[in-house]
Amino acid sequence: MKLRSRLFGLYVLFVGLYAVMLLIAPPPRIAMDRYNLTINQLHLLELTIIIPMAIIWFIAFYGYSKLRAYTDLIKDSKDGKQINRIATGVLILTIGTPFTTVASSIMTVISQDMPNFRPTSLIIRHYLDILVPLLAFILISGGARGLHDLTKHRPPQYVINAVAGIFIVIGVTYCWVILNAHNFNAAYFLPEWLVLTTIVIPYMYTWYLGMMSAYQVHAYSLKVPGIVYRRNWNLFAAGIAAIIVASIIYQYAATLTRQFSSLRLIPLLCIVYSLLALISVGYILVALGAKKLQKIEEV
Amino acid sequence: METIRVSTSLFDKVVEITYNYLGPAAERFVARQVRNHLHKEPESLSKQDLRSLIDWIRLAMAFLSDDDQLVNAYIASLRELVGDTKETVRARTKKSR
Repeated sequence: MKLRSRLFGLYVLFVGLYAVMLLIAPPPRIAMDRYNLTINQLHLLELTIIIPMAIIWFIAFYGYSKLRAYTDLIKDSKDGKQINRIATGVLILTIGTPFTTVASSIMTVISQDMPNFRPTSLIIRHYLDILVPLLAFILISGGARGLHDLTKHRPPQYVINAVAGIFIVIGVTYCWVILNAHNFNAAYFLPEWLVLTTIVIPYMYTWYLGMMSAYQVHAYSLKVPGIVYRRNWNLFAAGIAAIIVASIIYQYAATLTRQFSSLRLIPLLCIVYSLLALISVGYILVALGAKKLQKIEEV
Repeated sequence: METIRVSTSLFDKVVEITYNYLGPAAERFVARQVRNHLHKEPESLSKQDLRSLIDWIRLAMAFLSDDDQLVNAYIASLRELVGDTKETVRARTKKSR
């Protein structure tokens, strides 16, 4: 109950701050001109961002609270220790996502009044954006690997090949898109070598950890003994995998927002909302799975 | 996954059977049933406690799974520990219904 009320307090703080920042921010003239928006239409659009965002964050906080409640019951056991690491990683994602969004909107407001702060704010945002998923996925992958090791099964060669293949395709296209951006300097305010070594490489490492974690959690759900336990784990594993995969796609898309700026508003919003919805579905599955697993530990 | 366990006590035997249904949660589940319902430490579980333990496990499993066939198979395996044959287990199940 204490954890739930603390999480709820944090959630209210994030939503409140985000709403205030959107309301006090001066209207983005460039975007208004590009999409032919009046000030009222802009406020309406902001509302269509705040409300789904608030719902998605709420689902994430709720999903995490269920996961933590389950983890607390089994934290001293072999599988519990690994699930605890996954839960801590999920906590970083759960809190980190609204934190970076709110921090970004605060810095946007500051840089409207202080144009000299804009490059610094952009650099901070880039590093915040990478730091949160990197920390989260390091913990999640540690837990996922630990669980996978409990099954004493090695990933088949075709899985290793598939992960390597997907990773190479994502990595090469990502580098190509970043380095060929016509507004590279305005987007990063950093030299190319620094962007490659401190932003692109950490992102790729994060996504590699994420992909491996999604596979390992899924493999655990196939191999873990216990017919009843496995059925409940399937929901949980599907949720964790959905959160990881959607987070990777979301980060990939978010770092390329400038490349997407040529898109029309509706398709752009559809892409963002569908990715956020997928993350929410992940959290719902985690909550349902954790609730069922918790029952096993309580009856 | 490695499923072979070395059984040293009755508790271990119950856990070994439960492992096929509740996997890593098996030991915690059985220990909890013994402590909460029989008010004993799991290591001191005796053959006289088994029937009562199995009844509690059946009740608990009703909350965890809707699959009657699965629960019956699990309970039947546990009853074999008491020395009940499959026929007597079936007869007792019919009687209890």
